[in-house]
Amino acid sequence: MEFSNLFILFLFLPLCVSIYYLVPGTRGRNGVLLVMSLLFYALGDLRALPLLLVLSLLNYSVALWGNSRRALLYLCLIVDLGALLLCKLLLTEVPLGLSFYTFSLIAYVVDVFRKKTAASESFLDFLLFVALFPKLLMGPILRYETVEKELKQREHSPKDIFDGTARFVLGLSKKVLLADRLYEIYAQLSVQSSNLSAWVGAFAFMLYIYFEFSGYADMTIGLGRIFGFRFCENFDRPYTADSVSGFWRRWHMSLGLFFRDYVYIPLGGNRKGIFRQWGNLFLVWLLTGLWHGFTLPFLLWGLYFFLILLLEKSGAVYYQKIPRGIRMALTQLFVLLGWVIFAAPDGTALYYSIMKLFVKGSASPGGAWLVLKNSGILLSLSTLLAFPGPCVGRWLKEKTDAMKDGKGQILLTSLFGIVLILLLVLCTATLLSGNSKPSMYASF
Amino acid sequence: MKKIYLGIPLSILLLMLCLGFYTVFTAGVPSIGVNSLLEREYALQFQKHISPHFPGKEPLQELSTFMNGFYKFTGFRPQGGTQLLLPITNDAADHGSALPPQEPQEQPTEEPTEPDSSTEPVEEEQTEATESPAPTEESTEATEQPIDEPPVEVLGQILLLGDRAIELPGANYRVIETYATSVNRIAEALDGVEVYSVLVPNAAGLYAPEAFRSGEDDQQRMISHAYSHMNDRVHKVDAFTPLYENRDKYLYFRTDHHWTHLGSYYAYSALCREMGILPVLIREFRSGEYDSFLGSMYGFLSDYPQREILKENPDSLTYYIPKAETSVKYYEDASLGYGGKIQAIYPLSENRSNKYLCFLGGDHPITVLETDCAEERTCILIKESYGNAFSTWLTSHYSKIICIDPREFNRSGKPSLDLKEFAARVEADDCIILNYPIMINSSAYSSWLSRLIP
Repeated sequence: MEFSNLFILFLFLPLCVSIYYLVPGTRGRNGVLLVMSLLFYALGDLRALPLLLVLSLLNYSVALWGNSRRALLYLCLIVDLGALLLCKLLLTEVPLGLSFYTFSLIAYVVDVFRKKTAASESFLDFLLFVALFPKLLMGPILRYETVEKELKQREHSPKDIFDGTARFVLGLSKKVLLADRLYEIYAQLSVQSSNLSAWVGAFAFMLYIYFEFSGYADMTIGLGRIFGFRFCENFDRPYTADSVSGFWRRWHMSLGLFFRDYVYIPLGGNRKGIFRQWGNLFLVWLLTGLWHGFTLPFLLWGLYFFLILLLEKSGAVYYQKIPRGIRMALTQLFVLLGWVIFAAPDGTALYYSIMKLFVKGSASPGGAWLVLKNSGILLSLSTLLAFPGPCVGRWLKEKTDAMKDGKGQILLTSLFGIVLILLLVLCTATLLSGNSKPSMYASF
Repeated sequence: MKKIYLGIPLSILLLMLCLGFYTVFTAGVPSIGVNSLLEREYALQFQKHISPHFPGKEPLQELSTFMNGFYKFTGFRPQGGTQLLLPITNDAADHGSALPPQEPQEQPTEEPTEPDSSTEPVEEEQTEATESPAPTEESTEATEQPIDEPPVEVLGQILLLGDRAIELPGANYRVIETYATSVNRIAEALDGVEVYSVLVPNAAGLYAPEAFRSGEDDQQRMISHAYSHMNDRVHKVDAFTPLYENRDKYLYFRTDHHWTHLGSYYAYSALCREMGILPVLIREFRSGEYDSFLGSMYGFLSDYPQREILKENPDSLTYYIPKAETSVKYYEDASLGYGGKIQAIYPLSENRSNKYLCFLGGDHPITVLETDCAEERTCILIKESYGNAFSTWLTSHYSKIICIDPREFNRSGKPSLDLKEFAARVEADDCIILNYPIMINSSAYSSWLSRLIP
């Protein structure tokens, strides 16, 4: 159930937004959002709807009536994690959004027991927090405390609606116009065997995964803004990081923060000696890998980043002496190798991917050159948009927002509006031709 | 500013609402069953239903085609020498295409044309690779857990090279070994039946630039690898060499992924050599021709502006009519109960774009060709669409040729077929398994082949 679908784009979303704004008052609008969210989920994965309802009810009840009894908290956590674990282990298709919403539930129930947040008194409000459709399938992993006030009272300014619409269309364009095409390049190069095709393919995957996941995050945040919510950012220019730890503070930020707050720090973080810290880091990265799926490549991917971070922390003094440009390049090289592990469906495929990268095969690089020639424009444009692009975009937005009301701003905003409509037309044309693939993160 | 901030989102919302409602009003609400809800396909099914009715669909699709030109940039004015690569998935391996069932029509009556003397088969030496096949350990791992509906796998790529579009199979030697294992299973199960494996290259094996015919793209190596994993029960036919040596002839289409009838003739000649019989000279057959043939490769490129090159240079198809009196029937299952009458060489109307369908009318689960051949021999030909053109040559040597498409059996929603029982029932003398490299690199196809022996 993707936003990049004609049914969702031209029926579900416009209807949802229209009904939402036709109904007065926050309670009524919450009701619209809840019904539409449950409908969205039912249309996407009907079989998994009872699980979502049962887990929501359980966590809501334990938080509200648990009276700080730890046994109840542990029982609730066991059920949440057990459901996640069993589904990942036993089912070929994990229920939609399960990995994201179970972590939101865990964060909520733990926060209530820590008295960081008050338990929700309204089950319907709580269910809306869990099932809110813009973020249900691919996050971010939302904390109850960040939306608690907005569930009761929120504002809908024209600027928010415009910004939300713009963010949604830009995210959709990232997914449909760039990510899907970059994946095609990756798929094409993955059947070739030369070293060059392996490296170019890995780079295409690196760009693809960024545009797809961050595009979806943009759509989520944009829709949230239209409905008056301010969801946390999930990406912050990750490919401009100059260290791997910096990368992980900028990539899928809500997952990193979850593991920091609910695993790393409770286990002692860096306060109980270096070996304990390494142990904690090991556990965090093991869990990060397994959160994506119970496969050997995901496990190795987590452990790979554990090792890289260990090295980075051990040699931090020397690492900081390297010029920033080289540090950035090194970081992105390590990240790229990480994506090679991430992309492999199984251990054997991973072995062949690594061999193709580092062992010279007999294959001619002719295919890779041809793909480079065919897709040179797309790859160059995507590289610009993925690396310095977010920085330029942020600078432009700050400048435009800082402009005083006047003809200049009206002109710029109108032009931007035309660009958005054009992008929407291009996305529609692409979707009509059936050139869109399901998102990878939707399967986690 | 407030007006602008509200005006733009509101315009977009209204535009989307109007388009959405207009489309559903025109298309109607689809009757999508509970299954698509359970299979997470509701939105996809809905999209599929409303897409054809979307307002402005044609200009939008043209826009999409224009954008594809940008995504696969081959120059501002694509001309001869243009090179374009696109991935191909296992759709090709999944099922074949066939003409809709229809009443038999008259055999084509074109005047026989004078055959080109240069099309006579040439005597070739066996290649090294096929002389000493090494028997291998039986491995049934891949076949014990057959894939019912296989996941999408990228089987290769399409290369547009000037006015020729060709499929480049991606070599997967593990899958090739599984294919060989499947052939071994068949050979071992069919007692008293001579089993022949005919692995043929596609156009890429002959016409791709050197960079795409070597290393992992080397089709001769793929074929040799498959043969080296087949056991002694299987006769390995070297069709690659005669095809390669005659590559200056019109052996493969430029706009279609199949071989020409002449191309299949060289494989037939190689089979005859392996069987120790003489092939019928090609000049002894009456022939006819269809022109303006834009085949599957033209279709694959439908979303790309570069396909205009193919449109300007269509193929022509020369067919050769069997010498023996031949009647053909197709069957939906192995019971051979009710058979629809078809023809070995189908008459096609001018507006039928896929001219390759003239051979047996395309792919059917089972096609039986009965001839007045003096030799009372029966042959089973296990094949995909490459075998359609090939089958007609066998009419000079068998009184009955039974073509089986393994993609049409032993899968969910398809009939079952036990090849061992079937071969005994039809008293088969020979079994020929003919495939081209896309198929031997497809794990799904290997699985379907293996499932012929339960």
